Amino acid sequence: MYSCKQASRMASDALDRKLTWSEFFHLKLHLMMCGMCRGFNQNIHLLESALKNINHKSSREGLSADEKESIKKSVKRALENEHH
Amino acid sequence: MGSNKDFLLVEGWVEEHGDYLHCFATTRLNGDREMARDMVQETFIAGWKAYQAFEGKSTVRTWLTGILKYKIIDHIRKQVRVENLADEISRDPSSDWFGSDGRWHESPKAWGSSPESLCENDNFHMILHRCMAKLPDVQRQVFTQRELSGDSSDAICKDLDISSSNLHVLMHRARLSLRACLNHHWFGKREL
Repeated sequence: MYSCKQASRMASDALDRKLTWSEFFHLKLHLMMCGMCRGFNQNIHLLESALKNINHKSSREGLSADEKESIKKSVKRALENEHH
Repeated sequence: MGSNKDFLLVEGWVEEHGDYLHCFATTRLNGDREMARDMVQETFIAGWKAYQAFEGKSTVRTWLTGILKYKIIDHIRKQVRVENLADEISRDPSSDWFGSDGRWHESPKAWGSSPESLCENDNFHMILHRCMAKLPDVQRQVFTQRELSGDSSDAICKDLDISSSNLHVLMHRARLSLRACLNHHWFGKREL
């Protein structure tokens, strides 16, 4: 029988790797009986989904025209130094 | 090669791949746009120097991304130094969250928000970034690479040269801390 400490670790691991059957079974069993760990499990899943959404949103913000010009200028300067 | 012709080539790269590469770098550098811009710039310079070696086996974008990725990993490895990692792993913060019997000190409860509404909320972003900033360096790096950049566990272990069990320990700790911080500064407050 998992303690809350062990169950929280397995709930976290489940987001990063495939649990073994035994780990999966013990986690489910613990979650059935423990409201606190169900709360933790819900929290970390919500956190993960929120971060995914934030990531999609921020990746739409590209470089500004000014930033692109500044990159071009710096690269040009570096290329010229290479030639001399 | 004449420098004018070269420059047209690089100018085209900036227009065509600049946004993509910048986004790739930003999500892997804890949202540091300035740092990301510098790395993209260095990537274009390195790409130009190595262009003759580019054999066209992949697309230019894939090839440039490879150069950028190498630069990012180099930077991250310097930041997440080996001794930091050893310290971070050997420290066991579980007594912050659990009693000696393995029970929670503070009972987590389900949060009543949708991920979509959180995403649109600028105040939530601010609190989230503050909570992430409080994480120890190594945890923050692993967590952002996993959850924000969406890298696979295997790729992160390879990049940072850590074992998969180290990765899982660090992710567990990062989630415990972030959950508690967000509960304290955001979700807990709203329920009152």
